[in-house]
Amino acid sequence: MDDDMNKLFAEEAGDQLDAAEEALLKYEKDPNSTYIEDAFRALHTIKGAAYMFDMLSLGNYAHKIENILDGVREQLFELDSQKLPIILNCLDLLKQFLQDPQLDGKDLRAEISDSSILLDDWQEEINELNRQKRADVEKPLFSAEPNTEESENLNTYYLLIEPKNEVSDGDGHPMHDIIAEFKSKEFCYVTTHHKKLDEDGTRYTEQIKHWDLYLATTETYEELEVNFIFYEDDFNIKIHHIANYNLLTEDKVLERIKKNQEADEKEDISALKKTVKSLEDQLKEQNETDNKKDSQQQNKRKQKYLRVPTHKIEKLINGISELVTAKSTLDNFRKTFNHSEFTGVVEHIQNVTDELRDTVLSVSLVPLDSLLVKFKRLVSDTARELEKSVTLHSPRIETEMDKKMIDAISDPLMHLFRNCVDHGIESPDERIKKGKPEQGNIFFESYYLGSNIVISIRDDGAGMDLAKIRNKAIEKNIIDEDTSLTDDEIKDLIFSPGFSTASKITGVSGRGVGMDVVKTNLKEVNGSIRIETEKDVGTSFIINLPLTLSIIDGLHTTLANTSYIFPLNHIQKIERLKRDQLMEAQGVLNNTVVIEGEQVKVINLREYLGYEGSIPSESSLIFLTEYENKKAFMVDKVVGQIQTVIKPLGEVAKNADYLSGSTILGDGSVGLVLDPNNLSNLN
Amino acid sequence: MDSTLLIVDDFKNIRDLLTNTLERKGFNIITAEHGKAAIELLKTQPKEIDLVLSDYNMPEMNGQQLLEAIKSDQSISDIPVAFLTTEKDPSKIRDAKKAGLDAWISKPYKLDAFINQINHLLK
Repeated sequence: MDDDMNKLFAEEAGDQLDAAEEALLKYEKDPNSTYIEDAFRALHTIKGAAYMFDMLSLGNYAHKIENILDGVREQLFELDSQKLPIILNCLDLLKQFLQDPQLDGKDLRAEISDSSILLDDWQEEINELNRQKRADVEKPLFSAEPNTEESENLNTYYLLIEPKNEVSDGDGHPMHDIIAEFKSKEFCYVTTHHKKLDEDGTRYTEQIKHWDLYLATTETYEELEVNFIFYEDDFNIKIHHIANYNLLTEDKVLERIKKNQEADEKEDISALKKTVKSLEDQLKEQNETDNKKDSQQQNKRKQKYLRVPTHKIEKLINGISELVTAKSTLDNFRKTFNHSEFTGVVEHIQNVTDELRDTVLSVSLVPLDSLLVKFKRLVSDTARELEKSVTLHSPRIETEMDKKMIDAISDPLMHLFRNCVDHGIESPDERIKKGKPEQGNIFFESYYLGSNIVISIRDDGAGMDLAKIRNKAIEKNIIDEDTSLTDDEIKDLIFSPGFSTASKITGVSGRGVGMDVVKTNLKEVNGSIRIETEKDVGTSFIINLPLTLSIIDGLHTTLANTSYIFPLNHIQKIERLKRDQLMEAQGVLNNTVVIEGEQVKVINLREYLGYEGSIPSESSLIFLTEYENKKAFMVDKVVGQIQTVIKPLGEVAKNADYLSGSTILGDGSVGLVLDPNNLSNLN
Repeated sequence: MDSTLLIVDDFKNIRDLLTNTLERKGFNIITAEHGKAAIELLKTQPKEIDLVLSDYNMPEMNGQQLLEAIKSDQSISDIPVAFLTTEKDPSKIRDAKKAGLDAWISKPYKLDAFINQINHLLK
């Protein structure tokens, strides 16, 4: 149970961390104080949540980072290119901390402790700056912390809270917590007035005489009032509505508050209202324009989400998978009975099931741009490390995909980005020499194309030098010197294991996976990658992914009474082939037949998969998009199009890499799902 | 003797979270997943339960209905009731106060303040 909660917390906090990181990266490009504010709030939220979940050390660490950001907010110092990486590092550590809140990992424990010391020292410097600033300006400093509420439609209130009976500091009365809660808000000035020990003395007791609160909040009078109704027996509570905008940014009002605080007096409401009146007209105008801006920003953020544990979604998908299978069974019955009313019902169930399937699948989808922060960070870090200037643009990220798919492609994409910054984008000097702008660009796009997802990563760097790649491959014994290769084949060489064109191994390119792993990882999710490149214009990596992993539209075929399923999105066309034609071909041209004027190599799956017996008098040829018209796979019969739920294969079939899974067909028999990417291994 | 709290919430996660947190703070915890079960428990062991902590928005019987049921039954009407909820509608809060609610605790709460509040209600 604890684990579940930790996970929930880690996930929530992880989102906040991403937000903080994104804000800071924006700040790096555009040092606008709102980004610092965003980052500060995210840390503030993480801290609060950590304390609520009793994770004190994590909360404390988050608090230290929050404090540094507070210093930036207060304009005590700037987050320059030296200081920003420190904070980003702290966020990385915090991210690891979230995964291991008890600090069981010794390395992490040491790192957190080192980092805490550093943050404490830094805090000391900030405190010093703060003292200087106070001395300089002689401004009253109220203990004001920002809250996470949006500052739109603020109202200003004055509250006076007087205990009827004895209430003292630290007596555990809930009112202390309510006051503390108010105190933590951005626009709230609280003064606690204590009773004096003797009438004219200056010594105070711990007994509360009254609290007064100046508060600007989005809450209405009624909403504010109900905070206190359960304590009316213990307190006299007066709430005055002072203004329907935020007064607590006005120097005149702040001065007043300070004076009252020092004089230990209650607010004279009518006098306060007079001061307010004189400010009113001027303020109103300003506030209206501010509000407009704020609400515009807020609308953007107002999309609501519901967080659901993954295992529930998985259960839902499994349920739907069963339903899809049952639907096929039902469809078989329909064909047998051929009863019109029954057919109607079955069709209705089919439609509903299809809709349900689409909805449930879409629920489990994660937008690709959720990875964007990570990538921006990566590009920014890598560029800094290599002393290059690179911006990541994401003009069009409109796809969503399975969480599993996102996880599977995250690392390959990271590697491609790193590759673009390291090998693609030239150094600033080189770029200037070529007449390019000093700053390099990487464009990250993703969109739907047919039943596929396309992800493209394009840089405006040097492009690939095909001759150099070829030489390197020869040097590394990947190809022979006299191998003749097309340009596409040469480009593909960089995905060979053990290939690297970097003339020196940098920390950047040496890290993590190689390009061969990129290709293998993508293959695992039925994806493919190709490269387009032009000298001095740039390189594009274009990735193709299937829409989803678990339910596919397939072409049901049979081979010697066994069902084989081809993923429909890989099929280009189907042709019939007479046995005589094939017999002829076998004798002459290495199983090549001519269809519509094209030479096609026929791969007899019967033979390759080890089925005995003779081929039927007429077979079907399946053309896959991967092999264009050059190759076709021969099966006995095409049964038809089906929708199928892919189940993982057992240990037995583990080595059969031409299969991507199995499925239960409508009649209860098992079908094997072929993996088009690996079918070429069969010849 | 340690105090015993009855937690009423239709979500198992929340019941588990509260049980875990409050047990660590030394309270005995009983849970009910809806108002009916809560009343059943209160009636069978009125002496044992010191405080009811209930969610407000629940299917079938909401917090207000549970509160009214408790306060109208003399055998259990002395047991303090607090709502632990994200509901913020002032008129609902007022109605609950009128029906005899002892505290309206807004989520998210800070743990320390929450414990303070419970101790205050148990006094």
